[in-house]
Amino acid sequence: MRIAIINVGASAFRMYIAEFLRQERALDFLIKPLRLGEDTFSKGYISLENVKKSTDILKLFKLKLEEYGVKDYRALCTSGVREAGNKEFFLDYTLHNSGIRLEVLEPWEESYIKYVGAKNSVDNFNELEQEGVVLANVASGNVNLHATLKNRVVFSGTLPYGSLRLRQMFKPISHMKRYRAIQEYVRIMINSVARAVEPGDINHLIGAGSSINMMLSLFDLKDNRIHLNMLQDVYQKVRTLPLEEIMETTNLRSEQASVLVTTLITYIELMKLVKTKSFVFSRDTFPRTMALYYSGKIRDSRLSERAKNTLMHIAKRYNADIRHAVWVNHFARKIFKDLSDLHSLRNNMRFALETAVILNDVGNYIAELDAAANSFNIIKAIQIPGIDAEVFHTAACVVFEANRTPRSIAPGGYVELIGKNPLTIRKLAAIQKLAEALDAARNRHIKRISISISDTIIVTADTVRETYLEAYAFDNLKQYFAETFGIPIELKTRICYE
Amino acid sequence: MSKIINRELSWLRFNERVLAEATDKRNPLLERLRFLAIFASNLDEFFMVRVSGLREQIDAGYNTPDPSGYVPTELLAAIMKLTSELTDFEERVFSELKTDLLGAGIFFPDLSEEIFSDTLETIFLDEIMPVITPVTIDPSHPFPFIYSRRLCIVAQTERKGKVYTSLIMIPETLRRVFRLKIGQSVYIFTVEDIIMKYLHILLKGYTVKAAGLFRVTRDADLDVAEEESADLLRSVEHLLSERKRGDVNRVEISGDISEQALELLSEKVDFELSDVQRVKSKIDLTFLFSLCDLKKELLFPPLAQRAIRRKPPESSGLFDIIKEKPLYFFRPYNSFSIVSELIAAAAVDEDVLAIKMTLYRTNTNSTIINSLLEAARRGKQVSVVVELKARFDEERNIGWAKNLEKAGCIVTYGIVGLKIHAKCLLIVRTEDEKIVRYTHAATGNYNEITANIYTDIDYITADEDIGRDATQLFNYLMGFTEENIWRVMKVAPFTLKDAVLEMIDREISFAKKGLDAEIIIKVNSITDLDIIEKLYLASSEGVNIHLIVRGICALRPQVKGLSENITVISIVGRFLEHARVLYFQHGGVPRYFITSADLMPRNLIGRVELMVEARDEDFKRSLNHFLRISLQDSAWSLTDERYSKPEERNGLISQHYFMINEI
Repeated sequence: MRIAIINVGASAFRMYIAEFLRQERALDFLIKPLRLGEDTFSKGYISLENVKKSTDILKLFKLKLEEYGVKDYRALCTSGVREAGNKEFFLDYTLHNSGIRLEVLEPWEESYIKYVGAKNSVDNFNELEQEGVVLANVASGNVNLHATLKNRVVFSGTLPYGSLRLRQMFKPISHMKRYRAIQEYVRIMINSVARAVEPGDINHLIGAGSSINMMLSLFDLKDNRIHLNMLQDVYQKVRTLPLEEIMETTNLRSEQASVLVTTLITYIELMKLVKTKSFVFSRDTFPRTMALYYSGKIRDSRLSERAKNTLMHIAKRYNADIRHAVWVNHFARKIFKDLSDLHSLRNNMRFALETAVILNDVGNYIAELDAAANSFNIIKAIQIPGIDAEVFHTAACVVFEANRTPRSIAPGGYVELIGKNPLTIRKLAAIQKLAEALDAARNRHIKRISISISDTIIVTADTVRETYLEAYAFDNLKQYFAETFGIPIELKTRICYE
Repeated sequence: MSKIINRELSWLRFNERVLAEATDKRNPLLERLRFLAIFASNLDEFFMVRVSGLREQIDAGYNTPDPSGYVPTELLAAIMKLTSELTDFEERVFSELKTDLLGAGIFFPDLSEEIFSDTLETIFLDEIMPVITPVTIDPSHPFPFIYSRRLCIVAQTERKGKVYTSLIMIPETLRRVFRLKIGQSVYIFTVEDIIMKYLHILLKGYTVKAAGLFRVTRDADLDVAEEESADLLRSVEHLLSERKRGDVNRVEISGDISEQALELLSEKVDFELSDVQRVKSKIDLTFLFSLCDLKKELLFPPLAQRAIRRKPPESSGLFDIIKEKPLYFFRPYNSFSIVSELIAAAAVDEDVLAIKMTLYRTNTNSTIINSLLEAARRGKQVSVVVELKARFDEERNIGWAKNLEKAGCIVTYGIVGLKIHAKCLLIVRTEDEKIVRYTHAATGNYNEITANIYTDIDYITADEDIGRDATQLFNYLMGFTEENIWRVMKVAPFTLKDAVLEMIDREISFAKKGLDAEIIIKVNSITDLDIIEKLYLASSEGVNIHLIVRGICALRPQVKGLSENITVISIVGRFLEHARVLYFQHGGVPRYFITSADLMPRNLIGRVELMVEARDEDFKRSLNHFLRISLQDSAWSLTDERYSKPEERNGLISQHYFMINEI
């Protein structure tokens, strides 16, 4: 298999072509600097001149696809295009004039691929994760921070603090003082992370992204580790210098030199946050990481476990009844599996169901009155790298659907989200309601269930005592269930004495 | 005494060595004539390119000594003095050769001999007179532009007591030489002599009082303002038409041109009388090239080129052979045709996806070009990086560029500010779903004609690292990337010079440890001061250094306290020495490199050049053999600033050796 990845970043176009036979074989790597981010982050759109320059670069890249007979390629844009007002025009123009179909990579996906890439390329990543690690991908458009501790995500965000973006923001300020403004601004980002994590949760920093190339040009590094004093030394020398003098002092190319101060500040502040004197980094380029990811050569085998851990962590933070959530989830999984012929949903929807079940009550933390809407809003805002945002949108809708009352007012965005696939949401809500009903008293009276399907669905529950609330809740959902799947459902309980 | 020999004077000394070949009676007669023509052609180029730059410095008032200690005015004076000595030598050689040619039945007869009258008159009336037009110089006629290297006749005439000056420019379309065969004898007449004989017919009504010949050489150094030039192709086309109009650098005159006529020319053509060189015999001996086919028996015997040892039979796959083991060969002793065959095979091979190559100088009717066109027609991606600025080949290269573009090839013109001198071919092929890259790197151009007369080294390999670097090279040349990361190739202007300096440094460190340390460098020229200084240092640290430098050598060898351990030889012979090889003993693990680059700043800084290390053991052995035999050549040897050749005439001639023996 031969695969090509084109990455349209905020400051450059990159292309990686590799062959995956028994092992990965890099065939080519190209970089063409073009600062789309300069347009996007200052004007809000990409100028026509740069749209045309982009097209010219893509035409060159297309020749490379032909050179290697590559049919399988993905061309992915990050923040420089993603945030441009004329994003659609850009995609359309470049497609029609270069033949390359560009896609826009969503922040969560970008973040996750970078995380998986770093896990794959940084030694001892898993061990570091046990002690708490933040992966910082400092790129031109955004800074992507992904903090994990003991296989759960404690912070994840794609933050608009990329080096080129900050440089554009503070360009009007004299180079003598600019570093101060950048420092202040970066500290806002640092503080937002500091607020989100418990003290001591993060103890290691890993660097990645285009900023690492700059570090490699700057320092003669024997290993993949950068020390705080190295950064501080350079920072002291260059922070007040104009671009030409930075280039002269550091031998960096213009495009690198122009974002040097911003990048140094970001890393120095991150190191202070983590209280570390050095950080390791990954030399992998983003296009290579993407090639490995999309070719299936790197996998995140513990994603599901980490995602559930993260959901539990969120549930705990919102004072949800974890014991109950675990119990209901256990039923939900069983029902989803046993009714698979009936609901015909794909496996990723099982995770949406589990999310809905685990986070069903989080809205109560804000107010019980509008708990369903509040849960919807909380769940919709969740990002777990590796999990499609669509899953959380679905879960949010399922929770609202399953808990709404005639008086409930649909929260913002609900109508649009449910409009995409109302049947899926209804099916999942029906299953969730059923699972919730089986522990309605929140005391785990029902221990096991079995399900049989004929003209009626019979749920047989083994319980330790009479289940009044469960029977009541079950009666309330029967109509909804039948209207969803077109089949009646009955509950039979068997009391098993201990 | 400067540590550095002046490069211009060193070049003139090289040309002197070329001229000396014309006196070497071991060379066949017509080959001696060819050396004389090469000398003349070289000198023209020297004035067109090198002297013009010097004059510009003088005009600009630049007065700083160069590394050899000369200020521009002193250098120009030294050049003119040496040139004058060399042209005197040239005339003596020509005269001697004419005498020797008599014995072979080749004559440069006196035109007044009655026997030739009818024929010459017919030639004049039928072939010459219809295409020439005398111009009388007077205020009513604008003075015509005198093109570079165009022969002109200046005649002083009289009519009704009034004196006139007439100019007759000999058009380029008119051939220079007319041969008359009588029996086994050949009589040679030049067009200017025939015109002079019949001036009275041409200038009918005037009395010819005096007549002579003159020729100017103009500045021809192309200087393309690339940054301002959106289309390099068009810029070079424009400059080509301008080349003939550069400043005058040299004026040669012969015959009877009055002082009055000369002053008039000086004023109108814009030159100093002090720049005039009076030639006693014939101006512009490059016409002798056209006589080299007169008698085959008076030429070098034909070269029997050896096929490449591992060349496969036609039915088996060339690609498989290369993949099994790299191919290497030595031009012209081995046939260059394998490269043409490889490209031809790639053009029709279904598994070949792309062919990329650099074109610096190539020949007319090139089979390589034809194969590229065929490949493009078959839908393969063909990319050609054409160097439009290959001096004096610009016109030809523009032609190729246009033809290739028309056929659908991707043609690019390289990098602004850098000449592309690297010789590289890359073939991308799929084999069992896998990409395999075949790379050809060479010290010489993709020119099937010069491949028979230049010595060069070629290397064809499927080595993955070399293939990656070749890909990177084309990515860079074609503007695909800003990346400059090289695995094994050393590329100018990025890593080549540093790599050479580093290798010399390592040799110094071996010498310091008491190990044997040796460097052999075979190049066309060496002028880079950093490398020269490093070699001086290496010499002083006990490294044995042998330089085989055909042309300019700015390093001063065998100087006590400076370069005792450095020897320099220069091989000038039947074939133009062009192979560039670097050898480093490297503590007993020898390393060999072939390169397209000379060790000159223009190559190391101003050009894209390639240096490839030989990684194949057989190739290393061959390179070692090649260098060791070359060092035994009874070649010119440089001591301090003077070249000398061994008196005894029975020494080894490496080119002869390689013609007979496998390398």
